[in-house]
Amino acid sequence: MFGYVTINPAELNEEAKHRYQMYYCGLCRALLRRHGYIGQLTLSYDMTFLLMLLSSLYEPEETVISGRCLPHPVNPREAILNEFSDYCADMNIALAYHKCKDDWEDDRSQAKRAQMKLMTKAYQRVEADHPAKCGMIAGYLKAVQTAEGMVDTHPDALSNLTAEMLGGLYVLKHDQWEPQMRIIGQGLGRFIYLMDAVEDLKGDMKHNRFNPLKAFHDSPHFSDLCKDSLTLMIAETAEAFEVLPLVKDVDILRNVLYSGVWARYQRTLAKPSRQDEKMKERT
Amino acid sequence: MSRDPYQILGVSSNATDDEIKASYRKLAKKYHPDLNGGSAAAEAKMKEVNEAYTYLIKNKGKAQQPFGGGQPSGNPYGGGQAYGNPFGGYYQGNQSSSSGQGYNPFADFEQFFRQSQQRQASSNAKYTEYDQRFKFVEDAVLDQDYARASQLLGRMNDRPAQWYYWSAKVSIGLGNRMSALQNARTAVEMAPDEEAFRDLLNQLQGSGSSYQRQGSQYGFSGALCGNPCLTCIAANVFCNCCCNGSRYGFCC
Repeated sequence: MFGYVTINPAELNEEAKHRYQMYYCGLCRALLRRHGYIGQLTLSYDMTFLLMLLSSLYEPEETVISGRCLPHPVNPREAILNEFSDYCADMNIALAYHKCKDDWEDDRSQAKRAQMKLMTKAYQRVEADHPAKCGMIAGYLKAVQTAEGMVDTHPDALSNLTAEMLGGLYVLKHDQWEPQMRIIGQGLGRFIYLMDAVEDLKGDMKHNRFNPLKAFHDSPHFSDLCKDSLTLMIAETAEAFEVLPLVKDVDILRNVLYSGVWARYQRTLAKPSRQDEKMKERT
Repeated sequence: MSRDPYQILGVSSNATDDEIKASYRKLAKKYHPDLNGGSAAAEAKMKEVNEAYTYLIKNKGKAQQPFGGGQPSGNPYGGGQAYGNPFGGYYQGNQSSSSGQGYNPFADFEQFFRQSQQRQASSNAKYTEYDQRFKFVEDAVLDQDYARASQLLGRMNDRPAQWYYWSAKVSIGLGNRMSALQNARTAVEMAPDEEAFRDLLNQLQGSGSSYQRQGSQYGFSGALCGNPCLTCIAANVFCNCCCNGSRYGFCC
């Protein structure tokens, strides 16, 4: 979706990084197998996390395959495939398709329209297999469109919409872990939405696009408020996560939740100030 | 059932969470109904293992009642401050922290929330200047009728610190995290000496420091400190505002 939910490689050892890459490649393989090259292009970190989380919780049998692929034609890469790969690949397609559709409807972007058209067949396949989940994503984007059209939409309203949608995608099995899986999805949904709004704020102001944070950005504690909110959201996620009896690959999953999710924020926050300092030094 | 949950899971009483989880997985596999031909004994054992796990992990650090004691009655709050995340039912308190005590291990989110509201509401009596108009808002919040509370607040023309405090409470009830933080902060800024206001803000920010504690326990040096080259400035700002600076001096 946005690529925030990923590892912080600086804090992982080689073995763990390799395992993460195997899941990532596995998702890519599943996309290729089910939806062809166009499916592969939608590959995202966010769904890799869900794939790893499901794999850690249920520990399904895994098949490791090795081979060259289009993005890595020289050195063969290992990939993990298991019973959750297809679900995560399908949800990746559904999210990517609706994102393109939304962008086309918002900005009339021809590129997005073309992309959407290319994905239509794949999406129809996914929709046939997962009508409820696809309906949920479509309903979510519609609700977002409505909310964005209103005058004083609060960021909470939008982040809570994203929470409901991702919470629904995280629930795959209706067992005793369903409440935790839903909370994890919801927490990440809120976090992702707000993080995206923070990251896009400058650009959205410049190009006069919708951003729910515009109304707040000149309040005295704006950046603290964003940080506190993001922290609260991810803390809730981590709380539910720690209830799950996870053993396999748990270090990698924790690396994502406690460290990786902040990587983009660091960059957004740290870069401008560094540039500002350099500018000051020059003048 | 009144057996020791540690014994049921086959771990020592000072086992780490990860050891408890590993042991739970082993036992869950062993007694899984599918692998035991639907044996009643295995099913009972599985139930016991699940309950022990729930007791030790979901309600960690909040155990006041004996294991297997069923739903407790009465108010579980001893008078200590509960700095739990008010939005979620799975707050993991820090056992050693003086601020994380008095949590009912069996309460679901709603019960916890209602009691939290009641407790907070009763502490309002300490207000130096208690504005009677807020009594109605308080009642609505206690009834969990946030639409009515919101309406009452909307009708007020002036916005004293209490207005922001109650707006924060309503935001919590409605699941609006950013508004809750924003209003709680404003209330504290306007009336820094009001204990109830500070408590609420601490409660909202508290889960963040709990998260950082958890993170550091697993070897992460703070949420924003993954890349020291880029983040010195950012991390300092972050750590100072979220963890009262000095305690998390390891950040950079």
